[in-house]
Amino acid sequence: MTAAPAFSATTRPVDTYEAAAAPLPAIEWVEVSAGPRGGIGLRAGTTVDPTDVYLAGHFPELTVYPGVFTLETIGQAVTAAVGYCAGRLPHLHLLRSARFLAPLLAGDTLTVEASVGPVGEDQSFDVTARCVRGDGVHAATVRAVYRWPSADGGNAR
Amino acid sequence: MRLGHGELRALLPHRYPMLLLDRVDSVEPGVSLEAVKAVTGCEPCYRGIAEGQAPDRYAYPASLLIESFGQGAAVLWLLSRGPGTTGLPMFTAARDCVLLRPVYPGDVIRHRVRLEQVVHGAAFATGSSWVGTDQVAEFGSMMAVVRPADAVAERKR
Repeated sequence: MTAAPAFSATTRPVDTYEAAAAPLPAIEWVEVSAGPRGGIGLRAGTTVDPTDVYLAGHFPELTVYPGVFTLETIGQAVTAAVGYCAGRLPHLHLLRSARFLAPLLAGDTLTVEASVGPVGEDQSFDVTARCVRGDGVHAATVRAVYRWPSADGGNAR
Repeated sequence: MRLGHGELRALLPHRYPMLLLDRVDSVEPGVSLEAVKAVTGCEPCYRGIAEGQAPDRYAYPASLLIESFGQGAAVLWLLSRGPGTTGLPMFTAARDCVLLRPVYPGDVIRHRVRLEQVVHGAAFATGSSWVGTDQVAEFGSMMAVVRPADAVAERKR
């Protein structure tokens, strides 16, 4: 079945965090807009909080937002934007490419601007994200495929 | 060569709960490594899930699985750099990483990492992650650099 991602204007970031295992609440806000060919555009943001339990270990001498947490921010933003399919959340399936260009330190803000979808027949969709630090520096670029997993939980190719 | 958790702490600057390797079972420095990460429901990534969520919501976050593999790659590289290496390993790029099936509390992840090349201070690793006989992830390419903490923090001064 092919369907456009469902806009979920009522999905709050805290609901996304509480819906599944996650290292941290990785988005403070998310905005969704209509995109081309039935896809959507999203903007989302967060602030690096050095008191977060995971960030205390990355690293004790200097808080650095790990590149994988930028992926977590993008993933939670995508989840908040596209919502559920048959009760299941979208999962990261394929990380085509990721480049982490500048470090994010305590107090830095991260803004994600991404194009999402449209959805393919296998319930997968592309996400292309550009991430910008609060001072305007280009912090990361990510191209990935997300999909709602099959009913057995598998994510086979 | 086998490395216990204490030896991993001596090699990596990551600390609880972001030190995401438990043990290295075998390593040929500069060539390959096999590392173990046991997932438990006690990890902080499970602290925020709302009560009553479906079983699939307890899948181990992809961000932490990727970080765990990356730490295996960092150990392999740091061992080949010899004593006196200091700084923070930074995940700078990835390409063609596929997540094949979810991992749950109680699973023991086994990372098989190969160091492909080291060019101008950047290391490129590839490999796969397994739970028992099931492959859970494939990593086409992961790139990391080591940067002095002072250099990373410089922008904040």
